[in-house]
Amino acid sequence: MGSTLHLVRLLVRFRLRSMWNTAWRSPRGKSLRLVWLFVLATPVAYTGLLWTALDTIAAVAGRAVQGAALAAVCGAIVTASVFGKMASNDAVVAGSGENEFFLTKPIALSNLVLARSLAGAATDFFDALFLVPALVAGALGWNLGAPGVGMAVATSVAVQIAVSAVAQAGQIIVVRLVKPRRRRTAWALSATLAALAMAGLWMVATWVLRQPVAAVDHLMPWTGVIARSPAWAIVAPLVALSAGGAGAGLLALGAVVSLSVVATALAMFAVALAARGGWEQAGAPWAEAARAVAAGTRRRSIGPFGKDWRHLTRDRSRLLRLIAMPLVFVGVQVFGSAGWGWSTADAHHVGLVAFSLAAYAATFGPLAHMEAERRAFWILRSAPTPLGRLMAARALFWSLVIGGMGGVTFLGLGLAGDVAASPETLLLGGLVLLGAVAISWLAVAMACGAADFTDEARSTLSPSVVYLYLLVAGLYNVVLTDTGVSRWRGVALYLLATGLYWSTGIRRAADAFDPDSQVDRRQRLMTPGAGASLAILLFLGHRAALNVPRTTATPEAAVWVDLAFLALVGVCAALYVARRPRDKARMGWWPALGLAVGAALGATALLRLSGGQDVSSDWHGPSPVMSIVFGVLTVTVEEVVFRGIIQRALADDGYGRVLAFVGATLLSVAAGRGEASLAFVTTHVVAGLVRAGTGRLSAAWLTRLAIVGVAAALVRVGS
Amino acid sequence: MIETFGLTKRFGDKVALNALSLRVEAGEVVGFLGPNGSGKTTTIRLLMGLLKPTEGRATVLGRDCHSDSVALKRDIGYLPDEPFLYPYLSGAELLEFVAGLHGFSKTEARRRADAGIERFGLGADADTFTVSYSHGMRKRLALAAALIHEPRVLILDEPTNGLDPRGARDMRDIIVDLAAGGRTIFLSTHLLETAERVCRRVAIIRQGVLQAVGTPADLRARYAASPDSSLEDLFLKVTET
Repeated sequence: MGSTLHLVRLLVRFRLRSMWNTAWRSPRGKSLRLVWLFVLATPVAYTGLLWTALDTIAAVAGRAVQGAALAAVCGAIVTASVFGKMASNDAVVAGSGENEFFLTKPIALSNLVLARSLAGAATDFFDALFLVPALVAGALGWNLGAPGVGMAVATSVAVQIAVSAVAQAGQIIVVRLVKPRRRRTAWALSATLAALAMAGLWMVATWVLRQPVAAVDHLMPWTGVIARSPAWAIVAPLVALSAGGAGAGLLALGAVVSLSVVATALAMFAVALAARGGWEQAGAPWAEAARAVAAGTRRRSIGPFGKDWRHLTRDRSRLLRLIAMPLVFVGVQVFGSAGWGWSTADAHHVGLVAFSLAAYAATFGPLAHMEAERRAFWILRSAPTPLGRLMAARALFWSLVIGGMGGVTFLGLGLAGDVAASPETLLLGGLVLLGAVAISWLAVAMACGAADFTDEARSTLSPSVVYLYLLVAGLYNVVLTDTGVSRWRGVALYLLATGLYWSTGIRRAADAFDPDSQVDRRQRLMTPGAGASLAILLFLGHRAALNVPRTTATPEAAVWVDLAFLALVGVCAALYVARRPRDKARMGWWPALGLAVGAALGATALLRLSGGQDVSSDWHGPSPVMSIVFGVLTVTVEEVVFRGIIQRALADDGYGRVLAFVGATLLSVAAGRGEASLAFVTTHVVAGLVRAGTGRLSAAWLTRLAIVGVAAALVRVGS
Repeated sequence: MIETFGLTKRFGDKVALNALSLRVEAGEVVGFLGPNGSGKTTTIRLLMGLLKPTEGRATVLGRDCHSDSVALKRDIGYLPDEPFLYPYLSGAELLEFVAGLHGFSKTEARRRADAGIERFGLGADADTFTVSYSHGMRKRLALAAALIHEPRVLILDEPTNGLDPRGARDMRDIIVDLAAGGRTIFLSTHLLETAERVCRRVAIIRQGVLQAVGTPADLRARYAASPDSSLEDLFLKVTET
């Protein structure tokens, strides 16, 4: 036992030191600290949410039902934690740094399992963060004060130690009992169980948090069953403390600790038995039985498309993730929070669910493709084939997989939900297919853009990439719920943005091995993808503002929301531009000013002659001053994004001035504010031409400001 | 054939390669020697167009290694130091895939893959997934992939690194055979025995700076080493002065 405790001390000390060094001394420390801040803030939010839910339950039910609700959540957390840890292969995976290191030292496997479980209570914050917030919410909800919080933490630690030991023992038993050729299936099964357990946790927690009163109605008949289940033991100390005071609480905590000791001892016994005849590492693909190509497969030729197909179908854990995880997510939505009735209510809802499935699937497929590729990427980079063509073949492959998933889901849910067949339904089906295909290209492009193979420790799939991807996917959800011209502008923006991300991604992937270029791309270069992100934010922000009056009654609220979004995007865009080198002007300031004034006058005259269409819809503040502020801000922010970033980035990327002008103008027409009209298009075309001709953003800004400002003044004078 | 002109690569403030000017003639085998971290792999990655030079330029067969890197790869075979492969493709499939990337038809790709498997003694494991290949097998398979299009120039990064004595000797024999076939070979290594046996000339680099280049005999004369001194003695003399 002494040697085990010594090992625990070592593990705790060096794990914490390693975390500290990573957070404060590594080059990635700053971003990591932000992630940690988020990780630490999340449980506080969960505690608050569950506390509120328990308060709501307390208003309609007694302590027994409240305890049952808390026990249901805690039981789901523990189940998900056991299966999740078991699926992670931490204890047995061959070649993992820590495992290989310890197994070459004179340490018995059972002692290592125990030491890891005990050390995990101090260092594995995620485990504690799962259970602690739930139990602390119970303690706060039942007004148990500091003793209650202390008891919640103690219970969580005791349970966490047992969970870790049982999960590790489970992995080791699989290695001992399952033959090597079947182990991959066993790991795949374990991952499936983990995914299902996580889905169960999500459903139970969502149910209790969102609809606490409905949860009470459902839990009432099951209170007795839950009270006799192992899940009750987790909340028993708090229930006892609340009902019988400190003595009863401590007694119940003693029972939990005893159960934890028994479970840990049983796990150690199982591990000791398994390791009696020696131990072998497992888990990593090369440690399992060697597998060969099935007879007959060789006869089929293999290109980039076939390579991706074979690799996906043979890597079962990846295949399972691709199919199971989106199904679990969408299953939770359809059968959990959103419900079957909502999901199949009409073609729009079916479209949203089908596209969501495709988008989720893409996060496990094409969005992760560079992570799967990273070590063999040199093969593609040493081939005489342009990277864009190779990645296009990959995107095509994923288009079929993800597009197929979206299409089949739309069809299946539409038929199951008895959605009426109509032209709109057909159109929505087509849009879902288009969106799912495009999102495959988008995901491939974003993964290419994020690939940094100069640092083994840096994942190609950082949270920022996933969030950005979800932002663009969110844009398409707006398209699916929208109608008329606005919908088609959304479609155009989605496709154009995908094109811009593609351009950025392929260029960045070519430099994936070059650390200096990685710094360049983050700090010094202007990319079309960044411009596309800002354009989408502008579009979505404006759409959100348009929806505000429906819920608030005061039209000014919409203006303020719109203004806040504009200002936010404007600040981001200004910072982005300011941190990059200035563009080279092609014309002196005075000639550029002359050209801008001339273009503005010409455009205004043309618009007056063609019927006087109004282009001043940007100027819609509640007062004249606000109108001017709003109008100037709109023009400024849009010009910085469309002409200052996108048009320049496209030109810098070698597309030439003409293509850069066309691309930026199309995007500005799709994402810009204002009614889509000839006058609106003309304004953006003229501004784009001035930018291309002078090389000066200020000239384009002045041109557009003059055209729109004169139009607004004329409207005001006329009224 | 291979030329670098003041080739420089900086990673932030660190100068990984400093103004390297070097010329490798057609049909020549040149060893690029240096201690760990001296800039060998950086040079090779610059030649393969995987890195962008901070200053200077490199050409292979008259083509710029960075701006013309796609076309250039039709004539170059590359073996990286750590040849990671697609784990769930068999050896034969991987070679077929690489042949396909070089534009060969399906039939020709299969013929070349079979020939590569045969040539490098991988027949017994041709249909086994590469995830279960040993390091030596992976290296042989990667070399077969590098040669699948019969390139005129071969760039090999530490070709014998990590191989057992038998594997290292086999690899050396293969390199000698390839050189005899008239290919230009540029190989980096810190294993001097390899260099001594297969290279006509050697270039020695230290901390990103080229220290010496010439035949082993030239270098012995230049650094006043005895004619029977080993390349290892010479290397230590050059890199530690």
